[in-house]
Amino acid sequence: MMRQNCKLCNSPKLNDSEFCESHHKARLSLDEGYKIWLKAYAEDLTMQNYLQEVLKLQETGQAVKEMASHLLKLQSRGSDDEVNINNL
Amino acid sequence: MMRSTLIICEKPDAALHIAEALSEYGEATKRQKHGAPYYQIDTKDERIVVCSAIGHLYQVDAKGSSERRNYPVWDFTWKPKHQVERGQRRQELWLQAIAELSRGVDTYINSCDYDLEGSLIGYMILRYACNGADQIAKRMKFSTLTGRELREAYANPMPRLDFSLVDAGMCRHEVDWLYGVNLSRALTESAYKFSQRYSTLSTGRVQGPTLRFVVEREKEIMTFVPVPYWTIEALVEIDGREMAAEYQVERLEIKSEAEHVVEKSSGRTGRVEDLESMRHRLVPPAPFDLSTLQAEAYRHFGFLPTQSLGIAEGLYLDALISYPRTSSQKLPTTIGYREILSALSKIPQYEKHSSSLLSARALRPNEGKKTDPAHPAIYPTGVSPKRRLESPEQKVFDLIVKRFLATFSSAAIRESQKVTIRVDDLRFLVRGSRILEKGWIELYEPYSKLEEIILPPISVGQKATFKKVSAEKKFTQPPPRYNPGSLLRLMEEENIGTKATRAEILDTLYRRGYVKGERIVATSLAFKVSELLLRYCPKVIDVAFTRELEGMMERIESGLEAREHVVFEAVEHLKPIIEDLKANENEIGKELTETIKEMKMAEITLRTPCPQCGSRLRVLRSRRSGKRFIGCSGMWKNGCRFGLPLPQFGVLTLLEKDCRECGFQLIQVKTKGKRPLISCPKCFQAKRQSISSSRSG
Repeated sequence: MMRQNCKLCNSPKLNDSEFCESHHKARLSLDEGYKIWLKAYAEDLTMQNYLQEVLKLQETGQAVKEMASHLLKLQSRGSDDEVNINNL
Repeated sequence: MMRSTLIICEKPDAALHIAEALSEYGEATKRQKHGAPYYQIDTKDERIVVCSAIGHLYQVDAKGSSERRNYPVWDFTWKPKHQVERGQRRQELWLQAIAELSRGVDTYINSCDYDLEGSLIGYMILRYACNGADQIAKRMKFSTLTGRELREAYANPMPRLDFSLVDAGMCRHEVDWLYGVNLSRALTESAYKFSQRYSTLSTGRVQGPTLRFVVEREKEIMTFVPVPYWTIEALVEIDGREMAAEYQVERLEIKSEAEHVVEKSSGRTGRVEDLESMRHRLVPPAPFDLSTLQAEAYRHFGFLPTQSLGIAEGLYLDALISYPRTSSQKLPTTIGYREILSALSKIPQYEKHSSSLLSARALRPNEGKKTDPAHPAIYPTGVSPKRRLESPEQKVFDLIVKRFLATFSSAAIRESQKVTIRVDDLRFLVRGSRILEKGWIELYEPYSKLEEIILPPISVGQKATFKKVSAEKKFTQPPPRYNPGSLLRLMEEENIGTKATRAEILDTLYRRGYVKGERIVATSLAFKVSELLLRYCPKVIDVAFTRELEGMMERIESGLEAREHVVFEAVEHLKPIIEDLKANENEIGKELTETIKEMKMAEITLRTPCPQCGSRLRVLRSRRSGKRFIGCSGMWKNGCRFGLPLPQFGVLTLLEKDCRECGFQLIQVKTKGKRPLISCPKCFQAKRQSISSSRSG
């Protein structure tokens, strides 16, 4: 049986995700975090700015940084996934 | 005919102390047999021989002659250590000496440390080297190596060995061996069969769950998203004195709210609305058990748990402190509080506080909750060091003495003050605190300190001017990484491992490359091993099962459970796990091999890219000369010839830090007996080139 790997690293991916456990959780944490950041800045924050800010912080986890970079790349490429990002 | 008694101790130092203590009954002479020292004391009607082991002389091994790489292995037996491990000639001679000394002896006494390990060490020697003397042997029980206690223990030994402790000790070794050997061989063999390269991998009954704690924490840190919040800090002036104030809400989660507070209070004058003061009674700390000593020694001196244990054992063998492998926080009156304090008062640095405690009518230590049936909490014996203690020994000794003194002292009283200042509908707080009675804190200094913020007299209604108000943007922090002290505490809270083995487990995690750093970071290998165990045998890293097994083993100590039953249960639990691992050997081997390869590659890959072509730089070895150097991985792609020289001797590590001068990644070389050398390979080469050009110029 071929085990597929995470899009961002070599680890096996979860059954219902494109990512491994850590990157999948990082994605969920980013989603949750965005809601809190939006409230903190009174909606005055785009997803792109949010991801860029998160990337700059030293407290941000490594898997989150990798996921944030991945999402930013997708957005700059205008990939289909961009829709998902903006719908968060 | 003269009676003869053979006393078996755990270590040579303990034998010396016992011989010294018993020399009050007759002259003690030191002798040697096959290189093993022993002491002979001849009294009027008795010859006492005091000999010692050197730790465990017997250990569990597979029955018969089993190939070391085979698994599963279910049949085991106890064998002399020299028959199991290489390089144990000294142990072999030691056993031979004890066997010869035991001939014709009337009374046997096990005088090893009174715990699982000591009971087991003595039992094995008596059973196998002394021809079954375990059945007639007596047991000496003591907690310090002071002459008085040793003579008392010798005069009143327990009539027989503590077989429940022996059984519990045997069971722990047998179960740990079954788990360790089978699981570790399964991992090592899986990786070996796939790659044909040997890497020692291990896991075990306690190691697996402990590794999981570290990995789970690392996952939390890796997936942590910081969120912003704001704190409001202000400088207020009351009656001409400036003081720091904080907004009544510690964290504001919305930026505009923080800005509103700053805007509404800056430059304004408010009034003192309320004054509050509270007294807090800070009770003295409990005496040390091993894990609190290890945590405190790590906090104050940065000593790793194994290091603190080693130092404490050395102090015990010097008769300076009581037995350190204890989980008790109790100090029974029988240890003689006054005698110890009187003796400590003769040591200049403890004279003042010991004497003041002695002047109290009653001495009552503030004991903790934890107990240990075998030993009291760790306490100083009052014996003055006979030699100059090394600096780490002096530090741990001082910590133990001051903790002991502090436990007898009175509570400290601290007064905290809170001044509420109101400006419109906003409230700010000025906080102060002062120590009214130092109590135990004075005795435990410098290990305990309380900061004081003394406020001037303030009354309700007084004016308070806001000189400066600012909103500080902050971010939530990820959970902290474990350090050796906090991980040991967690293992203890979760009841996995014992006080004697926890520090060793931690060491193994470092040795195997599963964790690194003082702030414990899980490596990719740790993630992989933990993930594989979770996938193929989740029960191995299940804390609940490990705890249950610990409970069963503890019940053996109290005689409520049979050793054979616990071992049987452990095997029944382990069998299907090992079968699963065996069935998935190929997949496990593949994943482990890939991770090991990646880790090895990461260890030799620099963060700084090649300054000529931007490819990755790696530590390489020249095929021609065998010398190591930094080379460019672009050589195979674009022919880049960039290279930097490296020191040829010592263990090389790529550091996380970069050179201040040129920004290149720093390296460290450790050579035995020398201080580590930290250097920048790029600056080194530049310097070398400038020297050689100036010479040729």
